[in-house]
Amino acid sequence: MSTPRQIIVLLPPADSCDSPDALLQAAAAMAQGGTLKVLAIGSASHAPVEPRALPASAQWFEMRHAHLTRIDAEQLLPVCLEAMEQAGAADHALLLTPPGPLTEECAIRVAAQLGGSYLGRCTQLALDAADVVATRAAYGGRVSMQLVSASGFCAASWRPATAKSHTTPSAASHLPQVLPCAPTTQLPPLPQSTTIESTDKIPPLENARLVVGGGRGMQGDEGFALLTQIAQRLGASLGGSLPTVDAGWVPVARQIGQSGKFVNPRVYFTVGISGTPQHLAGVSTDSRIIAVNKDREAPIFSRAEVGVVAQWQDLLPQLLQELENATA
Amino acid sequence: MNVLVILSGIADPKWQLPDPLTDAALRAQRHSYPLLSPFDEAALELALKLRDADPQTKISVLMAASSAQDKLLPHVASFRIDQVFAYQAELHPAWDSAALAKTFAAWIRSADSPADLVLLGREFGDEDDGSVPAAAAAALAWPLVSQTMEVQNGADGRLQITRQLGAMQEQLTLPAPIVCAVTNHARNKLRHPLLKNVMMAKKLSFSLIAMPNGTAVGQVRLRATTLASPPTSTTQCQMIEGDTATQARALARLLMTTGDTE
Repeated sequence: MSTPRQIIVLLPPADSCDSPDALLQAAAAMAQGGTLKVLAIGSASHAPVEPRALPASAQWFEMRHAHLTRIDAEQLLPVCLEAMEQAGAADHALLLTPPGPLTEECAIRVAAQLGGSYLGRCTQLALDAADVVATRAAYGGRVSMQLVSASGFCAASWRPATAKSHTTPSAASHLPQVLPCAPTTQLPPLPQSTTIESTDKIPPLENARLVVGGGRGMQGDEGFALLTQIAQRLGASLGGSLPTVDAGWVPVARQIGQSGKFVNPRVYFTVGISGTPQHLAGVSTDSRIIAVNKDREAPIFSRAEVGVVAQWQDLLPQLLQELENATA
Repeated sequence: MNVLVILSGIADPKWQLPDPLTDAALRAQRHSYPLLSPFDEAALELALKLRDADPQTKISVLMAASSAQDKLLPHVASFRIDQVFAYQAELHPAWDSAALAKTFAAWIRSADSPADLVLLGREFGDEDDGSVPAAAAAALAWPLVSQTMEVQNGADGRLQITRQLGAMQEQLTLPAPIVCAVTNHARNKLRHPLLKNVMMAKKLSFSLIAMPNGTAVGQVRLRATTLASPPTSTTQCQMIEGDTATQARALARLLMTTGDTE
């Protein structure tokens, strides 16, 4: 009988990833009968994700590297590899990371270093005997692709389909065995870099309760200036679809969708967004969508809970006025 | 400087996908309705800007083609690309990013004029969700700059690269060779080719090159492709009717409570 595949979750510092709760719950379910290993990377200036109760026995390796200051894949890679080694986690394993540019790059590079497979940004993952079966989106979210790998080492980024930001541990939760470790691997030299001061003062998309999003229908900067004022009045974050980033109305850090950020707000207020699968792939199914579009037949209304058919040029100034009156 | 741009192309998303869906039908879709993705376009535009700044810059393109008659090949050539190479995309699918990356690396290493800079869109076609550029950099053992927005040729042959890193932007100065995963950005919208170059490119004929095997061993296999169901709400959308003032008032009330009481 073959040895069961080890399930390992790799977490970057807490300030560099979305809430990993859904991933941890799903990974623990996958590791039932075995021990889940969680590698939480951090440093003195970037706290690792804190241990939490899980529905399976788990070892939680707190990997604080004393000299880790810059959080990018180049710096994290050697720490990840040492963490894997210290945890005895390199053979016959499935490494899972939360989705995101940083974690995905780390997972790809760890897989490349260990001669394994990277299965992509998955919506479903399962073990089938020696195989890892992964389901992920392709063709802008219009196609679901099932990939299989029997590779000894597999890595994947995983956003479980039922992701919720506040997953409550079940009654059968176990506190993990916490194992503090101090990686000593030498980090690569820091690159010559200059940070460009941002003028963007709107809250980030990550963990926002309310997100205001604009699409191609906003037609230009003027519409986004109004959306920005509305977002500020509501204390909301602001995002846009891929075409709005292409057009330069929104920075790429605020792109929502298959190719951008995944958002999980309580309410997603969209204006001028038609509701393509590519865009909606970046919005949690738990989010309540309130949509404004001039086209009553727009696909966004089949996903939205509340809809308004209106021209944004007419509606948004009055909406802003109402918000100002209410908060005056 | 030698710049290599690796392009994939996508099936134009304006066209409905075939039903029933098969791998062959998807390839046919890409062949019939080809388009450069926003990320492909941004990568190509960055290379053209480098040539604008230094006419000595040589640009080569390696294209994942549906066939030698792929309509994207003359389109790409119309930007006065020094060399356009095409490989059969079907033989090297992007969903096995590690195998594809090793193939790229072996081909790049075997080139007569080694590339100083490899530019790829941050997603490589319809089958990739962003892993091909990082896998290519790993296979080449070159540094990767993800979310690249701008590249300039700096002093001492170093490259100045502006990239998005989390919520901030930074400028890096790095020596070549390097792989950049280029993101979409307003400044990187692909220019239109000159009509005379379009006409010249139409007269060109292309052939597919055999890619080296390198050490590429496919460890991933495709089991199935199915049409994804569009996300829908379980409840019918409640429309706010009335004149604009009424709609604005109702919306404001709803948004102020962020849906808590509705």
